[in-house]
Amino acid sequence: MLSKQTGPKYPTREEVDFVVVGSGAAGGIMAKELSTAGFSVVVLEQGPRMDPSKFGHDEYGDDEANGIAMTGEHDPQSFKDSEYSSPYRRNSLFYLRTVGGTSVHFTANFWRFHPIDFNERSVLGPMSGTGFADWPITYDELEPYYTKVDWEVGVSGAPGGNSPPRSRPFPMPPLPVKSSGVLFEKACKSLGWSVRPAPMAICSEPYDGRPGCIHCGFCMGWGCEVSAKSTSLATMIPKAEATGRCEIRALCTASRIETDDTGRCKEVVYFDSEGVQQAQLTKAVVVCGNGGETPRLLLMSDSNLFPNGLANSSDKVGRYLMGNGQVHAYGYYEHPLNEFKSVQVTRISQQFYKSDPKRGFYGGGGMDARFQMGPLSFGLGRGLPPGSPKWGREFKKLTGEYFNHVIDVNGHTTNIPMARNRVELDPQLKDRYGRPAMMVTIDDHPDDLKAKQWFLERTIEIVEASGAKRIWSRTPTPSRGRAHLLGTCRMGNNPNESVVDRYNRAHDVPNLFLADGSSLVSSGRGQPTMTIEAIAFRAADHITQFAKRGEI
Amino acid sequence: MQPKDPSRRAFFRSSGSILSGTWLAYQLPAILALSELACKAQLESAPLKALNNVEAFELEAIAAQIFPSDETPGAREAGIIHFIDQAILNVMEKSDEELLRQGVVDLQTSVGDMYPTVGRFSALSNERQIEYLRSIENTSFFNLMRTLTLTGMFVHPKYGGNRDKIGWKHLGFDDKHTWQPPFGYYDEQYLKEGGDAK
Ligand SMILES: Cc1cc2nc3c(=O)[nH]c(=O)nc-3n(C[C@H](O)[C@H](O)[C@H](O)COP(=O)(O)OP(=O)(O)OC[C@H]3O[C@@H](n4cnc5c(N)ncnc54)[C@H](O)[C@@H]3O)c2cc1C
Repeated sequence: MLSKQTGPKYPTREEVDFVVVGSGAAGGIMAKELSTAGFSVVVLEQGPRMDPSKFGHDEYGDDEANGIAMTGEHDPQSFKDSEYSSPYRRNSLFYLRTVGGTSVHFTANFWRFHPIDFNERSVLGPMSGTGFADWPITYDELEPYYTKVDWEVGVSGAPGGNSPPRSRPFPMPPLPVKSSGVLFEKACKSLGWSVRPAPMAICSEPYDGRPGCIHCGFCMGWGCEVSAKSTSLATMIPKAEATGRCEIRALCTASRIETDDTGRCKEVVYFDSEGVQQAQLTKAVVVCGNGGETPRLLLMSDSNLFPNGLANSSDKVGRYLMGNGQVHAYGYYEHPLNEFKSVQVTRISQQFYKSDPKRGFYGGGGMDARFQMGPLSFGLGRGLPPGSPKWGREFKKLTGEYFNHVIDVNGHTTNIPMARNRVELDPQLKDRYGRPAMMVTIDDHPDDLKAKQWFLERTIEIVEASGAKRIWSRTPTPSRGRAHLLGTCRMGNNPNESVVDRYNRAHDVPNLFLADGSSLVSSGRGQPTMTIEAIAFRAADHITQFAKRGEI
Repeated sequence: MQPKDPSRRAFFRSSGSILSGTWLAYQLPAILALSELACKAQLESAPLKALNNVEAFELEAIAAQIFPSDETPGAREAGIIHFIDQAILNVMEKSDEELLRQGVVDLQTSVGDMYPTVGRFSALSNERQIEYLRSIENTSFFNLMRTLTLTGMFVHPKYGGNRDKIGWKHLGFDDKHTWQPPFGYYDEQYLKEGGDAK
């Protein structure tokens, strides 16, 4: 099941150029870029290394079987419903712990942010009581790196329909349209709304030594057994190792970044696969642990010099935790759709991407059509309209009729950054290594729920316009968990208001860089990973230049 | 088959269902951690190991009401009773096992009180069985039976349920690894109308 590490092996007590913590969407890119630029790199990844050819279609839990998903007793979290309530034991932040990180089993919807995501605060004005802010960089500055992700990681899609500007075409055409995409497209057109093929981090044809998608249908929540999904495991990690300069150390959990008397990082302390504490000496550290784990590691690395946690003089580490809202309207159709086949999404609409003050609240979003249930979750009754029987003859009849005839039109929405929404260290709860657990607060701004409700109405309009025989939806509720982990070490020019600068360097520590979901200043409208990866490429570019100029 | 492993069993306990409707693994019930249970679907004739005869009869009758056999096969044909038996043996929490066994005892007592001449749930008429189950629909015993039955119907056959893929065939799900477009009716029509395949 596990596959072998192929790169070099560096002694822990000799200094390497970089330690990268985390090998996920961002960490994989960092590892590949820095090692390709000629540096020695050790990547610490707490999860195991999986052999993609062994990925299967077991709905009950391939990931659980392999002990890689973050659900276990061994890494618990606590949760707070609001700033002043007391924490209770509950895991609310979800990601995958394995070489390749959450990119291994994400759905691979791969939207670029739009120019407005970077300067919305200036366009719309301030929003009191929130952390609503412009980014220190613009879309134009990031565009070359979006293009780099397109071509180096591998993205399929087609332009049009309100899509943000691009300097190069997609490297691959879109994936074949599914019935959900056809129904969605026709509905959007009849409503006069823009629609286009979904950009996906999945190969539609052979690309860069990997095959095109075989349409097995198991993307969301599964690893891709043919490596058509453009994950870090399939794309960046092998290239990093092929340089001969990058060592991926799987099953190694970073617990602390040590600094010297001058406040510079000098080594990363970690528990190895045997649970033994080790420390890797390094010239510089790049943390790519995601929006949950990156702030946790900084907060765990407090010291006399950094009493509030490493790189946290601003008190912003862990704050402004964001994700994206998601709402669902369902349609039942006369003819079979067979939505269990192929990728989850083939058409999207960004007609209502921008926030419109006339609506009376802040919020924008995007929409798509999908079906996201396997036979087991559907068979347990989750796919049926409310009020359906839960067992017996009629229940049986409905499950048989509905499984292949239902689509789920999703709205994906903004999430306003709030200082109170944050990742802290739980004062009591510990993981198996004795590291303090994440204590997570999620208590959204009221506009977030309004945006969800508004988008739900739009998705219902789509289902209505698509000719569904029966329509139902789920009433939106405030978010209580996240799979998009964003904003907790935000980027900014002002060291009092942000954790990293425009190059992803920590304001407080010259040889510490943070580049992953935690860097984002705003949430976008769903599908943040394309942006996380573009930021990683951009940061790697600047880190390389700094290192070559002796400026780290 | 692996022995019961507490850390594995705990897996589903602590997982919330945040993305309700999205990330499958996280919305599945906290009842079984089938992860290490790679037991083969049991033959109809295979002896049960954890359940005694009375328990097996009664529980199978309940399962057969939850997912009945009519024009098409149901819980009986899918081997649900063997699935439950294997689950008890290998992965079920002790507390759930007790809930199940106590449920049968309670069932017999109350059916015995209501229908002294019949005595057993499994011996009641179809209508009476349904009526009785409606009255206990909200109990944790019934919910456990529902979850076990439906999990056994639709889970990957390698876990010992879904015999002959009866559950999957019922839904119209096919676990082939490769598909080619057109996938469904509407995309096929779209192509015929000259729509762009992409
Ligand atoms: C089911 C699911 C579906 C999704 N679908 C989409 C989608 O369609 N589109 C989209 O844009 N996004 C999607 N996402 C979100 C996407 O996966 C994340 O945005 C992305 O992977 C985040 O990248 P990252 O580099 O910040 O973190 P990750 O990819 O999570 O990588 C972080 C890595 O660091 C490791 N790590 C953390 N801390 C330590 C430590 N202390 N020591 C050692 N290693 C450590 C972790 O184990 C992990 O491997 C989805 C997420 C889930 C869960």
